[in-house]
Amino acid sequence: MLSTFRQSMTWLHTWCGIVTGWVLFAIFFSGTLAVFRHEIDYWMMPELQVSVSADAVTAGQRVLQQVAPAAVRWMIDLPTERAPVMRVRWQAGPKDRLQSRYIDGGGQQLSPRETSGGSMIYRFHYGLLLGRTGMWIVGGLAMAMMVALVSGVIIHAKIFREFFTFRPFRPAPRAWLDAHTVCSVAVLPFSLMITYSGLVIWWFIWMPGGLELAFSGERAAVFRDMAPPGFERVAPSTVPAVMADLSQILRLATDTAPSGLTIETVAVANPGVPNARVDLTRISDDALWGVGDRLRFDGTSGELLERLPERGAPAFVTHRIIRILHEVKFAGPWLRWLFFVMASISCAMIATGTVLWGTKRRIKHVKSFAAGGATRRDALAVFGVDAMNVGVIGGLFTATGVYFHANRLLPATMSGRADSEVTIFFLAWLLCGCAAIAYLLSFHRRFASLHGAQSALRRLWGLQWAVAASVALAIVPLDEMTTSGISRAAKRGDAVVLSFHASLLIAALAMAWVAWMGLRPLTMQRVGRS
Amino acid sequence: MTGRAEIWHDRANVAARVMAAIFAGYAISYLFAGALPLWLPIVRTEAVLWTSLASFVVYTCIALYAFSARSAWALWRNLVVIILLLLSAVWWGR
Repeated sequence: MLSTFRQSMTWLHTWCGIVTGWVLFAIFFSGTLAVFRHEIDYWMMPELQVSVSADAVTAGQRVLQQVAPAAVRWMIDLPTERAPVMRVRWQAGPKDRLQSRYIDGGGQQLSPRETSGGSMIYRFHYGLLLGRTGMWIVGGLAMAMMVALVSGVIIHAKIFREFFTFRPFRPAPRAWLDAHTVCSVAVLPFSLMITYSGLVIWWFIWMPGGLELAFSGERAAVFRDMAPPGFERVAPSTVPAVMADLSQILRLATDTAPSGLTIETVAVANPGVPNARVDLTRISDDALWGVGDRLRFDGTSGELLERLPERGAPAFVTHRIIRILHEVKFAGPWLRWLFFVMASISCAMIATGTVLWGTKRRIKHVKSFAAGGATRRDALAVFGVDAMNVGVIGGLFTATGVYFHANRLLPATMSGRADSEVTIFFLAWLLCGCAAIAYLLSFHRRFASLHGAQSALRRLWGLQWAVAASVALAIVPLDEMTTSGISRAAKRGDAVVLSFHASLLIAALAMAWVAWMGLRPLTMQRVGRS
Repeated sequence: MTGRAEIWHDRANVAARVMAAIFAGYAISYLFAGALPLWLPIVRTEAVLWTSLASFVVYTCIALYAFSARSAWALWRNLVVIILLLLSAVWWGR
């Protein structure tokens, strides 16, 4: 479009990034947190933070025997490292919905507070909480991200040399450009992988050409072909029978397996009749993409009936691996943290990109102010983007903290509690945006010169990070005061809750440091250089 | 050409490319995912999955092409030709 290929790509990269930057940042930010969504779920339901039984499956079987002896299906979700809780689920009749109940080690029912949990963050990540429409928006933005990434690589032909070029004390746009480049290059393979995998997870929603043209839209038949092989359904008989001890079956499955193995759920079809079947999925911890097999046991005799090794055509396996990579489904804690860190750097890549654009624009436009200084309108027109950067990017941190506060502060028995949490999250985010704009309008005179504008924006960023840091920091004592979360976790050695708080403290300290950088008085020498 | 006309010319140019990248790009990737499995000599479901995985790469390439092509006219001409080729591949393949 422009005179050279690289110039065209620069234009494309800039505009693609600007138009989509803020929402993309929100998607990446929520995706980063969603790496730990089960842990966040667990923290947000403090009623479940009680000791679980070592023999969870026996407790689960006892409860199901009492509550739903005539159900067509039972499921017992076993406690995991990520969410040490026990849950039983059952389906009363063939057409009924699954019901579920959390239980403690003794089989007593637990009633956790109603919460949107970490699952809200996950749902926001893939669909902005806007249903199908939101999923299409996210899909479109992911496509734009893909274009921005590839065009970004093309612009930076000398990518490796640039990685070692960081000039934080050079004038603003140069330093921001370097920061943007360093972030981007550091996690380029990761961000390419995560964007592409995010796109192809739901190829059948976003790119259904293959389904609709090559199969005349017979979706169900196609998906039946693609699904990994499963067990036959068995029609239940009507004679009652005594169930085998599920814990023995579980032990049999664990003992015959190679090391490092996870079984998340024990599923029973036709419980309480002679042809009861117990199905287990064993996932090996060795492979990131969760290679495993499925076992079927006779529910009354406890004998192994069938074993289905994981298999499938290369295309299906490829898609499965891509999906599991994106969701870090079976990764251990270290790999999960690595994903979290790389995703955080990807967030920083997007944020520094939008800030960089604001910085460049500022320098160009501030010259257009009349000698008399900036009016409110001038300030808004030129610095509105910068203020929104603060509101959208910084505000998201604050809003997430406020969301956690709402979880502890709203009355536990309130009706519509889960939705109120989400409303509070969005209100807090909106408020941060409004506050940033209000700051800009009320201090518009300071924006008249480039120096004034830079120190005013620095202050605005500092204030926003100070608020976000305080909100995050306050969660720790709040949890202790409302649910004695920390003392209980310390007593029980609850690693999930303790890590949650440790992460909050680290995040709060980091934000406080950035806030201090923004709010501290500048020495003359520093002003002169920036 | 006056300054005003030039501005409008530029805007039309950008708009034509944005449209090409988004809509023609989607049409081509959609048709690519639908047409290729009809001609590939492998199991249909697998072929659909492979081409669907590849279609997102196709979409990216078309978007980059849309903004690097010399003229918007040539760009649209080429994209329309590709769409017609893919359409006939679907037509004859079904």
